[in-house]
Amino acid sequence: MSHLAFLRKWRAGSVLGVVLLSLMGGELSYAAKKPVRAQAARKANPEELLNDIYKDLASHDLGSAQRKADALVEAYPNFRLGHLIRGDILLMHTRPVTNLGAMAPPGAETRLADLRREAAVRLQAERPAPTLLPRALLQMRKDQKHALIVDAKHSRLYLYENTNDGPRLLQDFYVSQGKLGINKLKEGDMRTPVGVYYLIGRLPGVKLPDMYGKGALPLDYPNDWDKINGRSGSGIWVHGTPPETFSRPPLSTDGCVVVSNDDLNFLTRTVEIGKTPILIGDQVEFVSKEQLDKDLRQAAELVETWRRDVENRDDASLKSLYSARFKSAADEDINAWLDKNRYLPGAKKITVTVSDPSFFRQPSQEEVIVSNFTQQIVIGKFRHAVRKKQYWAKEGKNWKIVAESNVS
Amino acid sequence: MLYCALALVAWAPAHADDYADVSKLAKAGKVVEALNKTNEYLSKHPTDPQMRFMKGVLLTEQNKSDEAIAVFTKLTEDYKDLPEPYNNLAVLYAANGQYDKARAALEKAIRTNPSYQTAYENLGDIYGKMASQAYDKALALGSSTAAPAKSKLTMLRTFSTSTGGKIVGAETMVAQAPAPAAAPARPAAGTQPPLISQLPPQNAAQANAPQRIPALSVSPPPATAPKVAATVAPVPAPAPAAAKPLPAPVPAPAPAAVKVAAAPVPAPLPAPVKAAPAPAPAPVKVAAAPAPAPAPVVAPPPAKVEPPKPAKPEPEKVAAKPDTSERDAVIAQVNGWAKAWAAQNVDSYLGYYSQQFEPPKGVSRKAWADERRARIEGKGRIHVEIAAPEVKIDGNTARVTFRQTYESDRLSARSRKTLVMVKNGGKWQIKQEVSGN
Repeated sequence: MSHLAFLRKWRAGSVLGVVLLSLMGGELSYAAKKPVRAQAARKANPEELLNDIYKDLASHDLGSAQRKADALVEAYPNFRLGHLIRGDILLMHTRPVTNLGAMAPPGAETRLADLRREAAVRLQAERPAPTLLPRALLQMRKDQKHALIVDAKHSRLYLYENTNDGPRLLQDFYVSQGKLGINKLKEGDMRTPVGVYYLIGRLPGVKLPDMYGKGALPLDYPNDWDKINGRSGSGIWVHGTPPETFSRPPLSTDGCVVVSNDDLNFLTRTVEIGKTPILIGDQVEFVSKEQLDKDLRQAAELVETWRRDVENRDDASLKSLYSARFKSAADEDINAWLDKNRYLPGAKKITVTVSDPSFFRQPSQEEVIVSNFTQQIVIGKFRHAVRKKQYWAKEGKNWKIVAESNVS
Repeated sequence: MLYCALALVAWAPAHADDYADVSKLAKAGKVVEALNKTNEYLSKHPTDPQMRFMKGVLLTEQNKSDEAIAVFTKLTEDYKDLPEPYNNLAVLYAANGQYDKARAALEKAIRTNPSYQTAYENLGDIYGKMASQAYDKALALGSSTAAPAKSKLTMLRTFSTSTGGKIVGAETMVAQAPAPAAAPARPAAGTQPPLISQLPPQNAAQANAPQRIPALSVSPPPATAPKVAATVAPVPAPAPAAAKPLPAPVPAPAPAAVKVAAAPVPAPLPAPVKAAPAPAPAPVKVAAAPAPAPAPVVAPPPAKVEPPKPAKPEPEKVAAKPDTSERDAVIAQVNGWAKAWAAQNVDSYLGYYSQQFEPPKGVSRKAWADERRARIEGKGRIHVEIAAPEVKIDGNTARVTFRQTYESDRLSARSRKTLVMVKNGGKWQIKQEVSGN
């Protein structure tokens, strides 16, 4: 029956091109160039398997694709997308399949559409070239070992490690976000917030309802800038998936960021509560080291200007750095806020230093830089140190402080 | 692999030395010498199909794809019932990116052996079933898995057309071609075919190399090949899954075929019985193919009854008889039946079957009707054509034998079919349906 074997292969090959093209657009070449990751002893990553399957199909090796698809659903019996692709591959043995899940039975169009989106998102996942760095991570504080960036546009979470040579991509994950996307405004709007946040807790899965899977990592939404903008809601978490499914569709949550349980376990072990930032937005950019340094100098320059004005007690100039929209967390206006933060107002000669800064750029259309630093004021033998968080937003051509708080 | 195939090709006792020499040369990488030797032999025996086949393989080895295509094309013209040259053509076309041509060639290869068609369709159904289970899991449907409908797989009822491809091919040619000129031409050609029809069984039996043809693809050779070739070539080579579970599909006992060639008329009888295991398509590991194996035993008798030697005069005789009205009525029913089938009008289609209809495999009529409905309505499109019907009427029973061309979005198949019809209340209805002769 060698003819059959041959025919099957041949048909699959001819058809696969179509499936791939329809799914991946121009990404095919990228996928092909992607370095093959070492297949370590660890459980094969389902997304890598998925990519391998598509590579097999692209190279007309239906037999190998079939074996991998079989292995994929065996290893991940709740990975629905895996079952869908396996179904297609089974059919490819005898007939053309022009679209993912093309022959799926009617009656589940929404689910099918969700799975197609998930497939597209997973297969188009981008890993930046090693020389490129995330523009959002201008500078991490030395003791921040990791940072998370959520690319809402591509349903992707990047985990960066803070090394002496700058941020290094450790791993990236498929994520699901709010049903209606991003830019959360109010409670119950089924959107995921955009901004610079921190992971502020670990909730073990056993204490949570099934839908959160293996656990949750709550975010500090809403932050100061959100509050000023009147954004409401709470309980934005990174969490796992319920037992019946390995992953959820790209747009399916009430605003949370959802990863697979395996990924959640890994993240839970990796992050540091209260320290690890999570930057969410739809404009995640990867830029050269030069560009990043330039952005960082600009951000550092803003804080330096502010430091000089504080040190020189030049209230007029200092005030001009604050936006008209400025409000403190306690709803104070700029004058009240500055009065409150003026240490020993009578003293003439003061020294102000800024140390341990971090600078994060919100990965969104709206240009916001969030800086954390320790401000130390020395007046004679008096010393005063406070950890500050400032939100700088671009207003026209100038950057202004729109929110500021003292972190205890 | 390639040389393996070559070695296998070199079986023919009369010229064993020549074949052995050529394959030895080829094995040693001396393709040019092998080719010279082949040409030398062919100058003496220009029609020898084995050597021509080998020449095609050697030319392919040398990247002379145009010449190889010419050789194989000529072979397909001279030996329409051999799958191998079609297959090799397909490999070459595919390497050139000519997928349409490759596909057509492969479909012809499959058509040379109707049991391939059935196996292929059965395999398609198995894959379809598995796919639908996979989809259910993907979409969390859980519903359709509940009823694992009995297999729709087609059981091979006879195997006349399936194994001794050569013989049957010749027979149908005669039956179908009323032109008297065609008939005399055949016997002459009939002396050669057996040679080739041996080729597959020999291959299969001699060594465990069911890959004889795809083996060729190994050759579309060294890296120099252009991009297209590079991507296309690897396809058939590994054939990993199929290699093991599908036992040599053509173990048609060689002697039987030889006998047939010598005495074309009575041969079909012994052949079926002996070759019984042959057509079992055993599609993959999946369902362990419960269906096809035992089939042949059942069916042959009815088929044997009527095909008398020279079929040509028959229609004329029948036509000459005055009772054409009954014959016309029968044919009209057959055409209506085919039309309803093609229109996927299942109710109408089932209406052509008599209450006495005996469903195959001993299933109940209900089960059979459900199966037919699922099968017909499940297709995207169906095209059915009836050609050269022969009608035999005996009182209230009629027997219609014809060539059926069936095409769906999944498969096209040509086969012979016999409908046994009975007259109920002045209306002819189908009592029995037999595929093959």
